[in-house]
Amino acid sequence: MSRDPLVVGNVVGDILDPFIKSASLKILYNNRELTNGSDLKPSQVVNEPRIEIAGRDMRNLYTLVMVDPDSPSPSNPTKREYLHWLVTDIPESANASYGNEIVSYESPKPTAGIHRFVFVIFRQSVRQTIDAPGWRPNFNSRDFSALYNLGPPVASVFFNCQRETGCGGRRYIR
Amino acid sequence: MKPVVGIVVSNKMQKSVVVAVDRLFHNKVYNRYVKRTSKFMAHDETDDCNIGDRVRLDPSRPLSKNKHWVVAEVLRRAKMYVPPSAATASSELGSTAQQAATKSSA
Repeated sequence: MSRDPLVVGNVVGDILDPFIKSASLKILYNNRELTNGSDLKPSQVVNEPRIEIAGRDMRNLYTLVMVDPDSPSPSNPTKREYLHWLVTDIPESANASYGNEIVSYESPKPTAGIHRFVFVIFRQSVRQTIDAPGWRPNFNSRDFSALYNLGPPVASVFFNCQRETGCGGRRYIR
Repeated sequence: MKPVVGIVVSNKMQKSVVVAVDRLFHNKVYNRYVKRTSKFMAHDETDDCNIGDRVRLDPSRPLSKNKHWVVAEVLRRAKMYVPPSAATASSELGSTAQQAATKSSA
C-alpha cells in the first residue's frame, strides 16, 4: 500500500486540501531535481531554484508559493506558514524568472527540528495583480487561493531541511 | 510504507515510544519460518501508551533523527497486574470510609 508522499508528509492537511495533480512541476537546486521528502542542507538551498512547469501553451499562467509550515519549530509552529517566495504570472513551459516576483526568495534557515519547505503552484485563469502580503509569517495558502480565485493547487513538491551544525547536545571541551 | 502493528517496549520519553514489531520470513534452506524483531521509535502525541500496549503505527515525515512513525491507535491495552493484597486493602479503605461517613451523618 504505497501512499502519496504529500499525505505521509502531512503537507495535505497542514497546508493544502486534497487535490488532483494536473501539472508537472520540476524544481532544480544546483541542477539537481527535487523529489518529495528529500533532505537538503541549508547551504544547498541558499540560491533560488529553477522552476520548470511542463507544457506547451505559454498562455497558461501559474502562481508559485513557497512556504514553511514548521516555523519556528515543528513542535510549536506559531508562525505557520512562513512565506519564503511568491511568484505570479509564470508562463507554462518557461522558467520562474519569466514570472512576476511579488515576494523575494528567502533562503531556508531552520533553527530547531526538521522543517518541511513546500512549493505549491496554482493555475491562474487570467493575468491579475496580486498584492504582496505585509509580512512573511502566518501566511495561509488556502486563504490566498480563495482571495484571488486561484482554485485548488495543480502541483506540489516539498523537501526537508534541518540545521547543518547538529541540534544542541552537550559539547565536551578538552 | 504500510502501517505496522507492534508492542510498546518503552515509554520513558516525552511524547515518544519505542515499539517492537515482529515479522516472519521463510528460510528456504531450513524450510522454517524465522521470527525477527524491529524496534521503531514513534510519536505519541497524547502520551497515553503504556508498556505492553498493542499499537498500530502509521508512517510519517521525519519527526526527529530516529522518529518517522506515528501511533495511529491503541489496539489493545496491556493488562495491569494488581496484587491481591493491594486490591483488598483498597476495598477495606473504601468500606471504612463509608462507615465513617454514615456515623458522622447519624
